[in-house]
Amino acid sequence: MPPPPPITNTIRRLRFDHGEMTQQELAHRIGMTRQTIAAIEQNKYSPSLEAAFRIAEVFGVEIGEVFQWKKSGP
Amino acid sequence: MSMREKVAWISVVVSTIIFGWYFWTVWSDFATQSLDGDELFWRFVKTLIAAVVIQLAAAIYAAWHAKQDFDPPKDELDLAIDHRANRIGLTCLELSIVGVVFASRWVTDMARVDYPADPAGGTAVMLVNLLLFVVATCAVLREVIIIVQYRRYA
Repeated sequence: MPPPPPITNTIRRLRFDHGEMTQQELAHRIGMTRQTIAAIEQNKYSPSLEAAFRIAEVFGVEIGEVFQWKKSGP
Repeated sequence: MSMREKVAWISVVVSTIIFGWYFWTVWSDFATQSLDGDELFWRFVKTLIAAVVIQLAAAIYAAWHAKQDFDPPKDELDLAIDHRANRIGLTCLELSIVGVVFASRWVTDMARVDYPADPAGGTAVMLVNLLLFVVATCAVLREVIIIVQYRRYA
């Protein structure tokens, strides 16, 4: 299995901050399945740029607040 | 578990059992040198109809039982998984067909010995079933790859 992408995300916290939004509700709002949202949240799958923007749009934040690049090395 | 993964599981189990039975009977006929093209054709048609009906019924039941959409629209992860599985399945099919072409010489020789009255017919029946076997095997492989990928992301 390939290593997870060097990207972290705050979707779980953002869902919590938005009235405990369910994965199913988020999935429905951006036209994805709940399984795909779960995979993104667990950092097992990196979404397309368009999907990333859609997720940020749902929470009303900038994309950088949802996804962060994990710096590698010193 | 997503509906697409359930459909893949149903397809693998049903295809393996139903077509496994079909190819087992073909192998038995081959071993006893009693291949009959007409009989095999209808046996295959019945097997195909049974496989389609059982898969459809099982998928409808699975969707109804879990209150899921029977055929949900694919999102980008579903499409990526499909694309990867299709690519590997197609490669398997291409290589297998080349293998069948090479095997045709051996099949022709066997048909001459086993069916001296109609070696061309014997060759055709064996080659058609060899092709059906590789198509069914690659299709099952494709579904297995879909399952493995969904499990990876679960």
